[in-house]
Amino acid sequence: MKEKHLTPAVFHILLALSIEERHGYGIMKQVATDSLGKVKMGPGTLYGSIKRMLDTGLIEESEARVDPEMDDARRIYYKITIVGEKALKDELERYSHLVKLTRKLGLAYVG
Amino acid sequence: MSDSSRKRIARKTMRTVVRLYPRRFRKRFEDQILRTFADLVDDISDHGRSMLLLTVASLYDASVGVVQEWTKELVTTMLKTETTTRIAVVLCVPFALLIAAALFDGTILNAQLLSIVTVDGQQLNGIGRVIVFGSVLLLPISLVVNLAGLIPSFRQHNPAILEGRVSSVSLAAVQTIALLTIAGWIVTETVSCSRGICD
Repeated sequence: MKEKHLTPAVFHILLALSIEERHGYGIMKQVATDSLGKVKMGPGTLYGSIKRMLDTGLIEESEARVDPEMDDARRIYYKITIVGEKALKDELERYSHLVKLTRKLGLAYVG
Repeated sequence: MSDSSRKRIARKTMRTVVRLYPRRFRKRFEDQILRTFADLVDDISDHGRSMLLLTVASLYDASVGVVQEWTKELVTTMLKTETTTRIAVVLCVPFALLIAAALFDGTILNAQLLSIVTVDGQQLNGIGRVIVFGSVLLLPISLVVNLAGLIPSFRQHNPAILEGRVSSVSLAAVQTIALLTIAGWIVTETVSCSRGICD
């Protein structure tokens, strides 16, 4: 069966939500931090990905309001689901395998 | 221009772009997108970075999103439609192409193609007539096919079923309008000719 890989946007959103529940802007900031500023998501990409992830059950809306400083009625927090955790774990394992493989091959650019 | 008016313009422009998203997407995410963009704008002005760059990048990103969401919306609608509606759409395509060609006065057809369907670039030859009359004849057939799929929904007297068939009902409306327009044009031409004022 063909394995389905996560898109970079979905992968980074799952990674950001694996630490704690976040709202849209919180996800954006965490993605920028995690990727050392290399992945910059606009609101269109972010909410397009969030919609697909909600539809496929990778994430779900949360009742929590974990950021009291920036809280607002319009803010909706999202949390990762068990399906999302499994997808993230599989993707990380895939990356880990690739890194091991490139190390084994002695490619210089892998630290 | 003050910082607050720049922020206001940026938010207003973003709101305009967000309005272009499909209704279902907008209903679910409009407030969140605007809230997130407002946070971005506030954050960037706090750090003294370029608001113009951020606005242009965010607008571009949202515009790409608009195209993607509309594409998905159309594909989903098409997949949800009944087979009869899909066949009806396909049968309408030749007529739609004919209308497009007529609207652009044949300019979308290249000279080589025009020489196949016309005698002198103006008068239709045999192939041209078959294409034109064939496309027009497919329209009522397409309407019948579409209505054949809709009749069971009408028979059940259930408005909820018809609400789920919006695309079929809309298509039937467009087909009826097109057919009435053609009929009206034929009647006008016939009356004009009977009075001896046709071409």
